[in-house]
Amino acid sequence: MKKDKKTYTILYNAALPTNKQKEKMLVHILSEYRKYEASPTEKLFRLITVYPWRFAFGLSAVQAVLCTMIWGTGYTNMVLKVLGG
Amino acid sequence: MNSFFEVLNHPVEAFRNNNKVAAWLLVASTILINSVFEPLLVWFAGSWYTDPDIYLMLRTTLLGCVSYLAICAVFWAICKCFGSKTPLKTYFQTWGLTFFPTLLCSITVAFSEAFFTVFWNNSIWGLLISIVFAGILIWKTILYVIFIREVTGLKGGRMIGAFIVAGIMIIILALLDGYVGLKTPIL
Repeated sequence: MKKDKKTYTILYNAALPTNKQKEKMLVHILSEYRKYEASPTEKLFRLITVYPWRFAFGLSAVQAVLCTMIWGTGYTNMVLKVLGG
Repeated sequence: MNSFFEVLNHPVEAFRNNNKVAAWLLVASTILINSVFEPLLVWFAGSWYTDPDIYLMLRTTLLGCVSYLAICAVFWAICKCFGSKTPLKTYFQTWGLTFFPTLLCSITVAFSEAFFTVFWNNSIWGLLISIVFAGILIWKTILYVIFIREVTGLKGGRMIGAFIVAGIMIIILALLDGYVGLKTPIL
């Protein structure tokens, strides 16, 4: 029985990757990751295109608050006149 | 329902999956809100003293359909000139996926028209409706950029060229839609 256990351990250890193989795998994973790492433009595109309404209404809120603070109801009336049907 | 959430939140994937049922449902809802819901709301709110006209509703519905077909044909023609190989059918099936902001716009226009006095000269309500209108415009522009990028198959300068020319055509068609009585352009 003891002998069998040892045989299995030898077989198990033989199936494991060596340190050299492990290193190779790590290098491969890192190089693949670098390939898919997004550039700043891609990151910005993704930020805008995933949940686009979030970006649109966020930007719109900032401009509407700023313009209303500067021009008051003159600005809101103008938007209503142009886009309000 | 999941496909509607995909159109709303992940438009790039929605364009790749090409869900034509969601696209056409959005277009049909926008047209019906423009042609049927808006006159009825104005009538119920009592802003105008005219009864809803069935003939006018049918005419606006028909013009809405024509407007959608026209913008798709214009996209196809312009993009073909710039070297796109996308067939006309794909434009009919995918442009409707950009209609969430248009649908929201038609609802907002209906309410702003029916309750005009609430928004006029009122800084708080005016500010809120300005946020909605400007947000809709930005949202639609984002979807337009994604559409050109994902559907036409154009790259670089050709994509930018098609974007500018089709943008000019959108403005012209929007003015034409306003002229024929479509308060929210079906574009």
